[in-house]
Amino acid sequence: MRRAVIPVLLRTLIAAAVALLFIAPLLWMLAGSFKPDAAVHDDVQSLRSFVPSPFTLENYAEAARRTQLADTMLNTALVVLLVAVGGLLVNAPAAYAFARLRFPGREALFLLLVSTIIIPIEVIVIPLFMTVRTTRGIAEVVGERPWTIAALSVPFMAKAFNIFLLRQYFLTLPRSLEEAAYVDGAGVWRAFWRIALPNAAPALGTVILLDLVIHWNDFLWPLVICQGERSRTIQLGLANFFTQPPISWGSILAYAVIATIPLALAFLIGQRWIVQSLAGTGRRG
Amino acid sequence: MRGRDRIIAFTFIAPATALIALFVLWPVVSCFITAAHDAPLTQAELGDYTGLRNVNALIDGVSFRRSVRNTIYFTVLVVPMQTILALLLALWTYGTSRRKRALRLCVFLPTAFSLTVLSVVWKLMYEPATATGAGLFNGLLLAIGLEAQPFLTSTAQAMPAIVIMSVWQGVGLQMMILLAGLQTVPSRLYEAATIDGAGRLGRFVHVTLPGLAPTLAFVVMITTIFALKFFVQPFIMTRGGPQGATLSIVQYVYEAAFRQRDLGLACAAGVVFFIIVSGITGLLHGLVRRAEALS
Repeated sequence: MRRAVIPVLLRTLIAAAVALLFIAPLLWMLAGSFKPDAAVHDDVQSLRSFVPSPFTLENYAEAARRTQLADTMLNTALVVLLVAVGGLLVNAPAAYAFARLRFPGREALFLLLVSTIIIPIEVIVIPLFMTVRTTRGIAEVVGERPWTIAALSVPFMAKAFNIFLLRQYFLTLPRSLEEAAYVDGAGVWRAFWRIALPNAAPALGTVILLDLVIHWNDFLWPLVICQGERSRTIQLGLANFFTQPPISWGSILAYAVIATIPLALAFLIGQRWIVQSLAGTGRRG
Repeated sequence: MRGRDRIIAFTFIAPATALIALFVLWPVVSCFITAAHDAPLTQAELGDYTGLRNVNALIDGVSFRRSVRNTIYFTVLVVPMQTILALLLALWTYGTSRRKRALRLCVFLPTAFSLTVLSVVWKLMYEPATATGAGLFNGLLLAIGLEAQPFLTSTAQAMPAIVIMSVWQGVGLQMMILLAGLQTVPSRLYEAATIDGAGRLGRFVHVTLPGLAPTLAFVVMITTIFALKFFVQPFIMTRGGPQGATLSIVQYVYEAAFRQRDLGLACAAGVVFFIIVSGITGLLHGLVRRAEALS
């Protein structure tokens, strides 16, 4: 009651100003991608910078014309897909074993794997490159692009962090579900594959989403591995187009928008899916 | 029966363990081995054993020391700025009103973009004013009658410019983690403090801060690790320049391997970097533990 109208208005204005600080660069990127190059430059001294007028799609056409956009996009999509699917196939069983199965050395092995979480790729990028380089001979048989896609994905399928996250989730599942399956004569595989895995959907969704974001955005490892324009990932393609004369701000921004859209879509779709599966487990429980 | 169970457990863990051993553990070991050898990029096998020669070359070289200095400079600027800003934003946007939710979304939005994309966009925004045009920031400065700034093209301004962009990009994630932490502070403590006559500041100092301490320590830890690994922003925006003013350790490692074509030197730098990162991680992990004991 004590709060008058003016302070509320003031608060809203301050909040709007801060919000604008955070989204202005993103709006500028979006607006600039739809404007003729000359207009992007001419508008920098006015608020017209944030308005896509005069409107054109020419920047997108130019970005596609001057780069191997389709190939680059396909490479990146394949890499993130392989990491996500391959990751699920190796990490989920391992996480389940650490949560439910008994075997000698379980605690020690788990500790060893979890301790690798603190080793960032930036630290081991060169020795990892040396390891992966030993398979270069395969590139001459299968071709440069398939080799590159494998080199970008296979080393990142198994992730200690994902195993850790999935194990924590498996531990929270009630044992009674699997025990019922065992009574019905199911083996360990069936109990894992048909009971535990479907029930861990929210955790699996989180892990997949993390993998998609990390590897769609990855820059350092593709920079080390990719050779040749058609083998590049989207971030590398953008970095390269960025320095390729003639420099056109409009089409650079268009490329940047294109490099963002699939990730933004995955984010939106994935988030909804995770919320849904969370709600689903809530109803079951 | 028990034997069979062990075989099943083995098939569950073997693929992931083998991959992590090959692609994480072995590279760590191989990094140390390579650092002590002569290892030109063009050669598939390691050359002569050289002991500490690569490490000495590293420490004697101007650019590695500069890259360490730059990385520390960046970290020392980014971590406090980002943590304090994230804390302020979290406290401000804690709640469910529409205004708060909208603000939260806006602050979080840059985290959904790749660092490469944002570095490219910010590089264009930071462009100096020339006869042919200017970047967005200089455009705004000129429009309100101020002097244009060199930003990324000046040795003094390049790093602060990259710091501002990095804080802008990363603060949303930290804010979200802190918001989750705020939810764990029991509301009855606030009620008790209010009954005891604590004001807003008193409640913040005696309830919020101790309750949030573990989350805050965790945020400081991951922000520090992220900062130490910074690479994409300067690599895209300045290539480490001008005159090495924004050369990061990671870029030094990359260039030692692929420009100087010396894998031994690159791995020596990797070893030093590994020691720095794990040392600081260990220290900060201790901080997190103590913060957890506190609350």
